[in-house]
Amino acid sequence: MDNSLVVDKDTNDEKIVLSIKNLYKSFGSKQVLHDVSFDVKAGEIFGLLGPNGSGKTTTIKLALGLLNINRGSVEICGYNISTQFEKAIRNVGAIIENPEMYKRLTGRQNLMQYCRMYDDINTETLEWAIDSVGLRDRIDEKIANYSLGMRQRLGIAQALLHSPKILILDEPTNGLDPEGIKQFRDFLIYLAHERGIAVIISSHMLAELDSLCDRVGVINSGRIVGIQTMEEIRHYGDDSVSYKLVVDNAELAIEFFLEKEIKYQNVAENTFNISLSDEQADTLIVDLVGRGINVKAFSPIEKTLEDAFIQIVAESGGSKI
Amino acid sequence: MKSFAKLVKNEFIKIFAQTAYKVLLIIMVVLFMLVPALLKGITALIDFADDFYTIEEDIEYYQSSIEESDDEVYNEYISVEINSLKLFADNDMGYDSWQYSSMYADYLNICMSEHIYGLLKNGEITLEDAQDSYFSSYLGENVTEGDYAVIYEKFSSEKKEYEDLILNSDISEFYNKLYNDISEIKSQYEIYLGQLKANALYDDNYAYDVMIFETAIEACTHSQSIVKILIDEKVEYDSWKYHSAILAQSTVVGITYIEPPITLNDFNDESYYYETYGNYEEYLAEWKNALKDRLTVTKVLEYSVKNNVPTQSVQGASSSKNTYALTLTSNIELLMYFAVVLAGLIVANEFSSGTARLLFVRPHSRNKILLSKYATIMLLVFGLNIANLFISFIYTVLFNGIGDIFAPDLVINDGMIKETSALLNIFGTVILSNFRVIFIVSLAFMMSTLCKKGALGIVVGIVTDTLVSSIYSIVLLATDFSVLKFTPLPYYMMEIFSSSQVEYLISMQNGMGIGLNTSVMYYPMTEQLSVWGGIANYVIWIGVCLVATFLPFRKQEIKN
Repeated sequence: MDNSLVVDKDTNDEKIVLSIKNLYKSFGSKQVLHDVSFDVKAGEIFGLLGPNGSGKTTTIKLALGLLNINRGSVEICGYNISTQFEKAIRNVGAIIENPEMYKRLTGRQNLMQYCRMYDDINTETLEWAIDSVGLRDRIDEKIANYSLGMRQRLGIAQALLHSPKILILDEPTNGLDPEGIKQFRDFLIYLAHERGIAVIISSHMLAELDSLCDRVGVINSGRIVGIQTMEEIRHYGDDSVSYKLVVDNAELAIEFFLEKEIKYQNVAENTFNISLSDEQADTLIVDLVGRGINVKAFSPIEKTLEDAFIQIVAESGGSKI
Repeated sequence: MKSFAKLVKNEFIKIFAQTAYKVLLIIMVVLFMLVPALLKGITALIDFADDFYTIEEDIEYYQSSIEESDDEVYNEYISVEINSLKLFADNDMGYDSWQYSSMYADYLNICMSEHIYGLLKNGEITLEDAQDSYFSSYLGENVTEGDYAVIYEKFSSEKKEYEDLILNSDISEFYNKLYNDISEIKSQYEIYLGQLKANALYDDNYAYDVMIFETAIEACTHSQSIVKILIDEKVEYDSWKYHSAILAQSTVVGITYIEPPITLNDFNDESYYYETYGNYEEYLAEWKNALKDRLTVTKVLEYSVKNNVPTQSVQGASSSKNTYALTLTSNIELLMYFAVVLAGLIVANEFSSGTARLLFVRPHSRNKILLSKYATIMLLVFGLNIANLFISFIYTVLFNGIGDIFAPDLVINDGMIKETSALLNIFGTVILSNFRVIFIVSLAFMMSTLCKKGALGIVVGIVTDTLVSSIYSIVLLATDFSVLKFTPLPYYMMEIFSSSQVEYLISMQNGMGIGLNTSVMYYPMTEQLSVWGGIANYVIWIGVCLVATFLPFRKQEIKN
């Protein structure tokens, strides 16, 4: 394995590799990013999570210098992407949307194209990248014959060729099969946690980021609405628990909820999802029966990561997924 | 520099990985050979050489016309012509033989005279009828009946002598005759000049007529000198040296057909003259130049024959040097179209295929990557020019032979005739022709890069070239470039600056060579323009295209 890819994890753990500060971007009169700020540290996998059109790809393109920044700044390894582009981008490996490459060239010829754009890529690194993405058997075929999944893997290989300090991956699992996705996740975890490479991965699918990211920035309508660890997201809103409640009189129940300021959602006939604090849960049945409402069923709902995400987005006042 | 070279290498790999480009390149190399062959074919068609009848066909035609005619005198007349032609035809002397060219006219005269006096002698025709017939021009003045037999005998023996001359003389006698003809013309001019000077007071155009005949006499000297070389070297008939001598002779004769300049009053009355020349002095200067040019032609031809340096215009299509230059320049246009297609697609394809996203997140500035693409096209243009030099050379040697390909060019420098390297001139022509190529390619590159639409770049490039070429062909008709020289228009085809004044003068005299047979034209307009003006013009336009490409591209957003 090539030693040039090994990063001293201990010394890089707290080192900020990517710093995005107060980023604003508009296309014409349409403001697409508002005051986006976040940092990514060496060895960290940072998820950029948001619905379609929330500004993930725009943020990534701004970070890569493909789009012009209206306001704010992007620094990669201390270099400003706008004013020190070449020094900054040297540290980045990227996949933006589908990694389109030269279809008339073979996989290897494509990788060689990118190799020649750096001064210090040796054959060993190239071969390591090919092996890492499992394309050894097909690397000398023209990529016109590649499946979408194979092209994604080749895209990952090209991003790794020059031993970047940060990988920026925009929706990188498009086209990968479940087995491929699992291998890919394991590989990213290895790169980040074993080799100290910072990784930013954007997705609109929470499941893709679950058990992969160390932190997730949730972006909605061009704003970062929260940056949390996965653990924090899972426990988001844990001061209240959701319950499923079935009663015999929905009208009386709604009157009761409004009076007690209980958040509710009428999900079926006489059936509600409600959020209650521990105290409210303790006395709910007694209070309902006291009002002449018979409780047919009452049970806690197990909260998923998805629920937490919906809650974060909903509380930020944005659109739903 | 090394990293830039690697970027250029990437571009070459991408281009040559595409089958379409490879096919296009092969088509172009084939066209490199085909287009000149096609041009040569068209030239041959326009030459009408195949449309001329042979001497045998003409005899057949005359015989059929006799059979159809009841006019006995006409039939007699035509039969003399048939018999005269038969002498040449029976001895394998066609229309292209030197014997026919040099002796047929005189021989026919003798035959006609002999025949009519034979008819008169035998009483087969009266003198009055003969004077009203086709034979009238062969009758002498004040001839009486008693003279018929004597005159007939005279022509009869002359005819036998001439037949002997036709059948037995060698070409040096023909050249001797040519020399004597010129000498006779010269002495006639000298006599006329003497008379002119004696009667000077009665001739309004005295000064100009003297000028004309003095020039003609000087031209005769050069012409004689050429024929002398033909005699000494026993030069082959129909060779370029022979044609040079014939051209010199016709130039000499042509000089005395020049009309003296019109008077100042006539000049002011004729709108054509003052619109063309502006003022009388300019008109007189042009008139003197035209006269001097005729003399120069004979001087050039003399130098050419004396020093074994053939001129292209005398040789016409058989000149290998001419074929090489023509092939090269016609191929440069082809090469330009290929380069325009590449220039249109080299950047636009990165955007349309989505590869731009990965290309521009590399540690190279946008402009460096863009420059590598531009440099790739320029290198291809350079490479294709080198290929063109070789392919055109091979084509020329295959179809024309080595011929005069390594012969030097002639130039007039301070009134002196000098030799210059023809190959250097050809390279100069190629370099000058490429200014247009680089400009059109840069324009196509700019449009496709700014708009990210390859087809737009290609269309703009080709349409611009077609339009400007059309305008340019109109501009060429102008005589005054004092204003036009400050516009880009007269400089569009820079190769005019490598055109040859010598070839121009000769082709003007030759009545051929313009456009089709001779590629190395001379454009008098170049005297009013400067090659550096042309270069500066192109540097500005190419510079504008590049600035307009590179400056905005630095900040262009890559959205797809």
